[in-house]
Amino acid sequence: MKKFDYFYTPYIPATESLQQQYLELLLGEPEVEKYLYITALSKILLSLNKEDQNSFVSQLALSELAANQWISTRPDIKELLQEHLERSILATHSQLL
Amino acid sequence: MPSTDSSLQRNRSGSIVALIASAEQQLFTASPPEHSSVLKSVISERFSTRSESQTQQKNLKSSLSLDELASISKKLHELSQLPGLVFDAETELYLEQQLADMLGHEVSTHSEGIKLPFVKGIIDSLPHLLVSPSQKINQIGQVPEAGLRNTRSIFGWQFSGISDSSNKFPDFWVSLPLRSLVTTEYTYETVKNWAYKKKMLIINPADSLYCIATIQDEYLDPSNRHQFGGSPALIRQGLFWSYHNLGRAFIFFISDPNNTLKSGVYQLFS
Repeated sequence: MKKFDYFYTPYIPATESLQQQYLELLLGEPEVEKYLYITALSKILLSLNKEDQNSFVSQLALSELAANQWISTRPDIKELLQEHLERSILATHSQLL
Repeated sequence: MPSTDSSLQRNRSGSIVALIASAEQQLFTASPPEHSSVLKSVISERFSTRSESQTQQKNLKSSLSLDELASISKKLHELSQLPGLVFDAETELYLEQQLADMLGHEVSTHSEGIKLPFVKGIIDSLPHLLVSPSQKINQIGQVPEAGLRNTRSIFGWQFSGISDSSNKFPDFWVSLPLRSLVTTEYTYETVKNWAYKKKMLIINPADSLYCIATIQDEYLDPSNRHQFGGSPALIRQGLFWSYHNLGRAFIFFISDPNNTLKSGVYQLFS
């Protein structure tokens, strides 16, 4: 467990079943956070142009909060991230637990 | 069937390691070379503590059988539902022994002759401590929404100037009602010296999590609804906020003479 405060955390869809699965994953296999973190990064970087990539990476290097705030200014990335997290949580839950 | 459980656990750990390796490869292929070093350092910074914690957790686990672990878990859960803040001597001894066997460190309800007036209680969710005169809420990485206290802790300023990465204040701390421990034998100053940065074991019985945290402040609760307080990270990551648990917590002293225990939240039973 147990750091719930990564840049992607607020974008985990707030449905009860998904939150429950996410919690079960964290309790059962804490390393899953690293996996979600890396895949979320990949997803975001792949969908940005070079300038935006630089901007996002510089915010991420500052802090998780700064990266989170940068994403909040980009509705397209928010939507992409939510969809990605939903799929990843469902897939890893069925694969690992 | 312990052997089946452990092989399942190994398979699962192997799967996640393979998933992470594959995701990392994909990330570094997708990102421009100039970002690779930044991303590598960000990932290792965010997750190195986690790896250390997990190693620590694995090292701490003793060879208690699954039946024994289930029995301790059930006992903790039952005790958490009972009224009252203390247990009879026999129950306290049972908990101390079982937890010490499990964690590999001496666990006790008292330390150096001082005993807390409770073994279990309701933990209060506290704001961040003001550790430096120049500290601002936007300098706080974890759970900034918990807010910042406007007074310093009874132990004084922890840092004099602007805090930087080398001045890292622990995320996991507790506040205890130290004034209630003053007796004719122990003055307030003695209790303060005794308590400063002492390591505590806090257990969330509903979610089977334990936290290692240090004492960093005095706790006062005029409403008398809570017995002690916890830091924002402790409350959030220890799941003390959850509706399963409703703030119930066990608290013990944990002996760590070699300073091998790292503050954090761990699973009590894998």
